[in-house]
Amino acid sequence: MGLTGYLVVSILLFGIGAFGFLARRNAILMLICIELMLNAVNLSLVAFNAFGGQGEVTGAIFALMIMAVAAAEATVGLALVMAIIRTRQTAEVDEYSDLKE
Amino acid sequence: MTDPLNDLFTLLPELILVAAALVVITVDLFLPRGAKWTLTPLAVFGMLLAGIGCALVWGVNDTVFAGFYVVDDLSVFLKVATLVIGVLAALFAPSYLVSRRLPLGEFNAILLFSLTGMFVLASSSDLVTMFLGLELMVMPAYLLTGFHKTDRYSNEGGLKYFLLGSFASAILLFGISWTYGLTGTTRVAEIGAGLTGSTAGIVALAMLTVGATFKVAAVPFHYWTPDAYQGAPTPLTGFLSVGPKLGAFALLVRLFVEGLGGDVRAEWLVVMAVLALLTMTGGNVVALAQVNVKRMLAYSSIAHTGYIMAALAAFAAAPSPAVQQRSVEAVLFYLLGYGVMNIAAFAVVGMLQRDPRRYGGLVSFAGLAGRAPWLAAAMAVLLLSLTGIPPTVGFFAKLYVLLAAVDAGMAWLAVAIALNAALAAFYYLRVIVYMYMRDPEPEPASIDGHPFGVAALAMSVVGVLALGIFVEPVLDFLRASAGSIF
Repeated sequence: MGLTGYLVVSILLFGIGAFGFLARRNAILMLICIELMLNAVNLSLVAFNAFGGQGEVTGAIFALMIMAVAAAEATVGLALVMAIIRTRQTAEVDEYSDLKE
Repeated sequence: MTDPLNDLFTLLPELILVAAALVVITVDLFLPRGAKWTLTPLAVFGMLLAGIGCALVWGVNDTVFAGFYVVDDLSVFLKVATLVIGVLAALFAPSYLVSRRLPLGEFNAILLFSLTGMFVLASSSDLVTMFLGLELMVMPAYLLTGFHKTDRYSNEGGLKYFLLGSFASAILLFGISWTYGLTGTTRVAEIGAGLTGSTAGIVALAMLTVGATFKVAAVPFHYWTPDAYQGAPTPLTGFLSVGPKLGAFALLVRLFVEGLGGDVRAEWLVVMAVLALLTMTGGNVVALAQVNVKRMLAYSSIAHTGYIMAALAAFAAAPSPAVQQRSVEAVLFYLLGYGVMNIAAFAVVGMLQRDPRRYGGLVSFAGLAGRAPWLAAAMAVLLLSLTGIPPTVGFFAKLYVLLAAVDAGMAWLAVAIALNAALAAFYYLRVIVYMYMRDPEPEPASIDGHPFGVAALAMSVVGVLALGIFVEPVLDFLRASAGSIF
């Protein structure tokens, strides 16, 4: 399988993540969808690096950095979700509508 | 420059900020409850030390760490502006936080980490450092939005900001990944050539633009802004509305002015001009309808984003390097002036919220001139500056954007800015009318006069007037900074 195959999988993964983010109404599932999108990016970075890198490893290193950032992001996100579940007793984002015009 | 120690020296301001954050966290553990207030001067001291660090790297103008990082005078200006915002944010916050029993130690540490992220963004010359700086800046910002853990509004604002911000980060990252794939490099200065001409290049560029304009809160990617700004503790809203915005504009300047300036300018010009027009008009029109001053300022900050983007559009349309440089100067000056006046305006709203049940309604400003003449006068100066009336900094900031737009041959954009400024005057002046011409409520809100907050407010008002009257030294600094990338 060449570069195209990896990129198709990556785009599909990103699309599923983006669709899930927009369609799902549960805060934790939305967080998981964001992680899917980040993993799609990682896949494409590593694939670009493997097929066009000419010996340098920028793409692979970048993917490692994104993993670290994704872990931090999940931590921050879950902390915020925990806080809001304590005051609202629900993780459904449609219920979070106190702030509006 | 290959000497690693020398490279580390250019990183001095960032290292000082990180050290200050760690010191604040550690000292916080050992302080008794009554002495927590000393953490604020400690954090401010750290920021001043970082300012000295910035002075030491002025004039270095070199890329370090094998091209991942650039320390030029432009980055020094952005860092100094960041520190001005940081000092004001640290001083404005204590009264609001302490009266609600929120921890000062964590606040100061998170603030310092966010400032570090803005420093990294200002100096990034590679997409990898740019992304890391961006995330280091916005993740503390999510936490600051949700800082009031037991408050429904703060929770909701924080989560909305987090979800939409992370979504935008993922889109930006996908654009970065494809940029890397198409050009074979992550160096900002080298990516321009590889992105023109192909459909994939345009898609990558579009994703970069969407991700970046989301972070500056441009219409139509602004939906998180009013909720996040209204939900956050008010003095922290002041920081959120100027700090991450400054960082995101630093990203836009680095990415689009330096990286894509030459090759994709024509495509990018139309997008930027249209987004600028949509953003300023959209922000102002919705701000007109707000009765909550906090939410009104949130929408007006979107409008200000539009003015700054107009200067970026002027850069893209500029016929000569001299005009390009003036456009970038307009961006930088607007960011500095807007930073000072907007953070202080939010802080005044916060000072009227001593009673935690108040959420910044317009009525709490009624008759303020009779009850607290100095506070009302300070707010009036800030609002006049936000409107853009001389001799305040807001006037000159708008003037430079207008001149840049006219010089670049985009007279229609200049007309749009002028019309929008007139529209904005209506809702800013309405607050002044409330302060000076209405009778106060039967039981008016008590006013918070914490010494740190009062000192920061005085500094901001003096700054707003001084930047307006003695504008020349700042402009010299600005010209030298912007000159370093041309």
